[in-house]
Amino acid sequence: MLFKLLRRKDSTVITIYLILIILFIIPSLLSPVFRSYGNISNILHQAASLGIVSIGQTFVILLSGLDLSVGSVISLTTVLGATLMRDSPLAIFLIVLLCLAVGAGIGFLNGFLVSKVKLSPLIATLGMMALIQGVALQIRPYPGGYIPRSFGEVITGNLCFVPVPAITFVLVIVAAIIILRKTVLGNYIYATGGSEENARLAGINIDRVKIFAYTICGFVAAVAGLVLTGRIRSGDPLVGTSFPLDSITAVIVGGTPFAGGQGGVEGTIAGALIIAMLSNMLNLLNVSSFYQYIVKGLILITAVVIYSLRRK
Amino acid sequence: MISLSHREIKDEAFLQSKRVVEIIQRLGVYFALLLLMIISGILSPPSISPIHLLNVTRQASALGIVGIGQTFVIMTQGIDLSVGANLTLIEILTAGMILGRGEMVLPVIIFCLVVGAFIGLTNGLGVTKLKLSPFVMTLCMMSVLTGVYLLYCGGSPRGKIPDSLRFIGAGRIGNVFPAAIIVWMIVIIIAFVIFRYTTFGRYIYSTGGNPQASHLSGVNVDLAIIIAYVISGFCSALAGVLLAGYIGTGSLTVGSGYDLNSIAAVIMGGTTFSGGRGTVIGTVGGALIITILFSLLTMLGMPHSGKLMAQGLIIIGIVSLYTKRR
Repeated sequence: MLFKLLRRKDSTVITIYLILIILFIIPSLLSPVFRSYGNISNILHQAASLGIVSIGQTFVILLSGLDLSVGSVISLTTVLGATLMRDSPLAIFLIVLLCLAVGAGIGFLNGFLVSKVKLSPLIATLGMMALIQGVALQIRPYPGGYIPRSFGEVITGNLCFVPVPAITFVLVIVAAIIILRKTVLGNYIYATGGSEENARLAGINIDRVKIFAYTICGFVAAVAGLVLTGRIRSGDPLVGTSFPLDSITAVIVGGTPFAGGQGGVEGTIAGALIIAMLSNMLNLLNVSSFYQYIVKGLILITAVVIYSLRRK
Repeated sequence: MISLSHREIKDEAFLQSKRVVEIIQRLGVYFALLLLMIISGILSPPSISPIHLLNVTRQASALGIVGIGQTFVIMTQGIDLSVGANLTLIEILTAGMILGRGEMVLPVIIFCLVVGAFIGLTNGLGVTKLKLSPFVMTLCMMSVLTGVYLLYCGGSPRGKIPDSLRFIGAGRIGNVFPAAIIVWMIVIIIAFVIFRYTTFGRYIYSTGGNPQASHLSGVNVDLAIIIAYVISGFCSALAGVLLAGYIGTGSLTVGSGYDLNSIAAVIMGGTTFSGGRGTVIGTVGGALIITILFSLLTMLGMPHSGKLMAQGLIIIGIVSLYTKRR
């Protein structure tokens, strides 16, 4: 896969992975705590939920859209899980299915509003964000609820020393890469993102492509919500607040431009890992969390400036 | 000759009918506002008493001022997500720098407005000279400004606002008419004049409508966009100063919601994301709708969750109506 990446014309993905490797090596040399198994598995736990959401976000941004409602979907998932789950495996299974269906349903509605009602993605998903946030707060105004021990242990446990969230992340990545690179649907997504008019004239049903992408985004946000539910073991109606902007940042840093049509999940993965690693690094260095806002903003802008200079 | 003048008359009539349609479209937001007021009058009669309406308009003034700045930016096909963080920063700066000293009011206000305009200038330069997408540029600005105000106040804002500024933010002229509404009205009039009667206003419309064509006709597109962002930054700062006067001390959460609500107000007011189309007066209506809606829901005793749901539904509903009609 690495060889294939190197052969590809745009070197954006290579650059972003180089930055990721450098960002990993330097603090590893400096700090034994950073390179310890515990910390790396910690980073993977943190990166997993953000990374999974960002992959859904990539689908939408490839279509020159965006989804601001992913955070609310995550919050709603944790709230639903913590309110409805009981100790039997069957109940857990059903609730997991329910959460995934709710996420996909919300994504479908977003796609419907964007494609059929022709709302701008910002307004449609902004309205949805407020609506779903309201629903989550209605169900559970304060964090709490009950998550069965077994669910939390399975979701956050280890499988042969590899954290389960990392495995979930990899599964989502593989599925996304297959859809985008190997199926007709993936071609349709790139074509529609490149030029809607051309795609339409070529006979692509762009409305359906959009609905599909937003549905995936909602579904994947619910997956991330379940991973997070296992980690925090409670329902928190505001836990998803930072995810919309963080996931968009991960996608943009990963080299998929807002204009859509190019880029892909390969870069997004690195983008999400960089964001998760950076927070971890700054925390280990005892940097006040106030500076982290500034650092995040500057990193995003640097990445985008580099990309835009390169595309000239 | 005769046929020519006949044709002119026909064009004139055509333009007239087109103008009528445009006026109705422009007033659409005010029909929605009227409807909302009738509904709130039925559900809760005191909510349409003149005193309450003045109060709500006072509440709407900060959002209205931010919305007017946002109108300039959206008109150029841009978006400014940093207005909320800008507002919070200025609110905290104002409270933190004045520290209750009456003689410091004017210098601090001027300083804060300059800072706000400078933030807008940076956004504008990023969008035009670095060719960044407005969403990304202003998103970064939001993140950076959040860090800056947290660092400035160390997480716990302080400060005291002297009476003169408190009067502008919370006082009433003759114990009836809130002073903040006057500030809002001045901003509305200035923006209206800019759009209607100045060359710069026409540049904004043409830049938003078709940047390429405007550039070829000799409009300095970059400059028009930069000034639009400067105006947006300035308006956010003005709203920040006003809210500092209202609250009387620094607050970390004062600006939350302003990004998205100001965008919603602009879009409800009929300005489109594709640029080149829209009015200041529409944005005023949008800001009033959002504020009246929240006040009605509060009067009905609805919890925060219900308000959010209603807000989401109303934004999607009103904007869908607009989009369908076009």
